[in-house]
Amino acid sequence: MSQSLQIRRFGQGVFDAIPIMIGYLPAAIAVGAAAAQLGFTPNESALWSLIMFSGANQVLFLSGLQSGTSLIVLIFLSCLASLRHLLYGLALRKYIQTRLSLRLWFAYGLTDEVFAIASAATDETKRHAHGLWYVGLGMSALGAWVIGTWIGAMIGASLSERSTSMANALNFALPALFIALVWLSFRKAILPNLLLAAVLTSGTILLGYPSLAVPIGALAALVNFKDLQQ
Amino acid sequence: MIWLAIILIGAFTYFTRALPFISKSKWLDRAAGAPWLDRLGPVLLVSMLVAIILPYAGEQIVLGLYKPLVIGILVVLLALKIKPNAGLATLADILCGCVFLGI
Repeated sequence: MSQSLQIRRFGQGVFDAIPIMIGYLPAAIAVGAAAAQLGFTPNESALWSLIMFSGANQVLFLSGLQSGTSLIVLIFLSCLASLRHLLYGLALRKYIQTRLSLRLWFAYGLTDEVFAIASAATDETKRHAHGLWYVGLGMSALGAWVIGTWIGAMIGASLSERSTSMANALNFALPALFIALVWLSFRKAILPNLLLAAVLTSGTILLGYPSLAVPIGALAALVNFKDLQQ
Repeated sequence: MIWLAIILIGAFTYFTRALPFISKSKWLDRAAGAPWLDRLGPVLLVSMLVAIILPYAGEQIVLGLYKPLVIGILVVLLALKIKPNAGLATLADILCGCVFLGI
């Protein structure tokens, strides 16, 4: 394959990632601002995003640090939450018939949103089904996320230094982000599980064990209310 | 220790993303089909929200700052109604907080 064709396919992947990048920037800025409140510098926030590159795991990490959850519990919960990525790879692997190195590059950027664009492309048209297109897509999303986090941490740190009132306003960034994430992930079919999680978590906090609250709340996912109703 | 945890989580996240492209094993399809896995993400988010907001709300109410808290929640919900984007809703809330606090 010629070099110009390779560049064109990579560039097409970057172009097709523009909606993801636009969507990521505000969220990444919010995560960066929240990280700055917990003492992360802009460079540390960017490095953190580069290593983890998972919005869900990063907000879980921030909330855990804030609520005093132990790092071992946080690692365990993040690993559990990451298992959903297996689904994405399983759904896409039949379409990505390219050399292993490109598949592994693409896998680094395989987030929920990248999966959505990649699976739509593989379903609708086969023209994109090339390794370099996937790499361009995934790496652009990663770049937007890392830059957004850096900007957010920069804004958060500099505004907090300027006034304590601003720090108070930024303190609500993390709860606000979680309210939004819960709202967007809400599904009526799992409402009983969500209510049970809220009851278990708040009960554990009120009993005086805040560091155990999230893992105990997560147990609500194991209950199958459909089976119980039958 | 925090950076060790970040590296471990990052490594496992990458492992779950890359494994299906390396292995062709059938057990992966079975493992990924577990119904509780589908519920885990939203359930974890609710637990984290409660774990963050309950102590935060308690502090704010003790300090008599319940009005900014209620307004903050309403702003996030209103922003989500207009544009369902978590990042934009959070930024709208921060901006509103600045206006409310007179910054």
